[in-house]
Amino acid sequence: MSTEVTDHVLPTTEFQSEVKREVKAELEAVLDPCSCMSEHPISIVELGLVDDIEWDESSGTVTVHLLLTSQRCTYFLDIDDEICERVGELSAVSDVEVHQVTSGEIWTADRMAEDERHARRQRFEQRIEEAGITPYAERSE
Amino acid sequence: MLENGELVVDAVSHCFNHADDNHLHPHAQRWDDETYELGEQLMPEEYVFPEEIFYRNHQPEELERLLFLESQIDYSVYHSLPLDDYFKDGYVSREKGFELRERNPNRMGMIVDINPLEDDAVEQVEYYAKKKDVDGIKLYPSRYQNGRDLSMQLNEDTVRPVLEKAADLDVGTVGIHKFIPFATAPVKYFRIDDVEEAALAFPELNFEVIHAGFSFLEETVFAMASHDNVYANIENTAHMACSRPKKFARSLGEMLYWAGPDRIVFSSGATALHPQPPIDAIWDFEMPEDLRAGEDYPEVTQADKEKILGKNKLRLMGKDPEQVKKDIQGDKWDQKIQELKEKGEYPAPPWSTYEEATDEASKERVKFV
Repeated sequence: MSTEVTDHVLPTTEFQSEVKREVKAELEAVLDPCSCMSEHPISIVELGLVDDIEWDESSGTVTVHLLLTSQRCTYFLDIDDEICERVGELSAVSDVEVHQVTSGEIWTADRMAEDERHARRQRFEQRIEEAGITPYAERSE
Repeated sequence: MLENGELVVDAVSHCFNHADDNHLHPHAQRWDDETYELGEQLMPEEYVFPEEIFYRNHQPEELERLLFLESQIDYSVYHSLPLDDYFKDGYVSREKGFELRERNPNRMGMIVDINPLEDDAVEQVEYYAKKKDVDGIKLYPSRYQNGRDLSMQLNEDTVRPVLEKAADLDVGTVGIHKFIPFATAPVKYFRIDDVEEAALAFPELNFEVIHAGFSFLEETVFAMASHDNVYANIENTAHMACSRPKKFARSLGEMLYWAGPDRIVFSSGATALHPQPPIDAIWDFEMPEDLRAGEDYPEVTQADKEKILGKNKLRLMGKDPEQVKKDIQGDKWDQKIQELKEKGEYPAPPWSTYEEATDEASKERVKFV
């Protein structure tokens, strides 16, 4: 079992294990279903949903730990299916497990990749500016 | 009532029916269980329901004791739910709501569910507005019918006549479930874009977007900042104040910064959740210094909290707080509250006012949990 410990997996996360690098590349292609409804789909890695990747070389098993934005996310099964399909096609991998983290840890926007978080905020602020909206907090000052 | 004498007004309460014989669809069981799990995740441990209390057909007399004896809520607005694709009685029946209001005319309001797909949906709006004097209508963004998920967005032709009738009759509030996807419905139905369009088309209606702050936060505050008739109804989100304070702080901070304190209404979501923990948590809430400094989120003042916990909803309903206080002073609940206060037992301990379920379906349900 790999002993590499990650806080959570982001696009900038680097793994020594080649298999983990391959798994991460596949996960970067899995898009968050909610974001797909917007004009700016982002991957589950960019969104900070991937809490950890485990690789058990002896059994060929990859376990992907996901911390969902909401524990009630009904799209977990869709994400699960796509992860299993993509990661399962890697030559070194014989089994894929997707585990929903229910430790009590909470997803917040801080977990998003910094570039993505800034880009998203810039789009929001641009939209606000184009709409000519002054924040309430500034209006009342 | 808050310790300073200001009213606590609950913008959403429900009498859920979690009994087995209410299930109509395979997802009904999952819905029950996920609602239970939501409570486990959002509430302090001492408030999590015993299973024999949760898994039952909750009755009006149970909800009224829960609201008025186990919490500081003075006035509550019952929302019936239109989930009759999944549950025989819609999950939260209209009948129980009207019974509650009849039992507590000075303490309960009523928002009635409408299914726009029903042939007489427009006539129903007229009936409930004129004959039943409801405080608003409740819509869901999706229906499940004949094995398919159907979109019920506020800007669609099916829904528009319902909104037109509600506007004509000055119904006041349209409650629209958003942000928490359910069953197999596509997530796009839970975005808020359609609310903006409807808010623009019907300025005489107020749109309470239910579960605001739970997800799509930036889209929500944009809609609130753009349209004066879009309100954040923080059902479930309010409970994050006690269990997910950082996430709650960000949601509240964005709403206050962009739209201000007048556009946020508290909801307990009882009986799905216990009503008291979020009242305590919001009253004690302080915006973390790092979010104030880093995000420019304003300090949450006592005046803001009074608005969120009561004054905003009363204003939306056209009610004078002082009149409401007079109306409930000395009523049966006020008398019971005074008795509990004298014993130092107010609010009553969590779920202590519930008794053993009496109906057979609830008893059967409990056997298997």
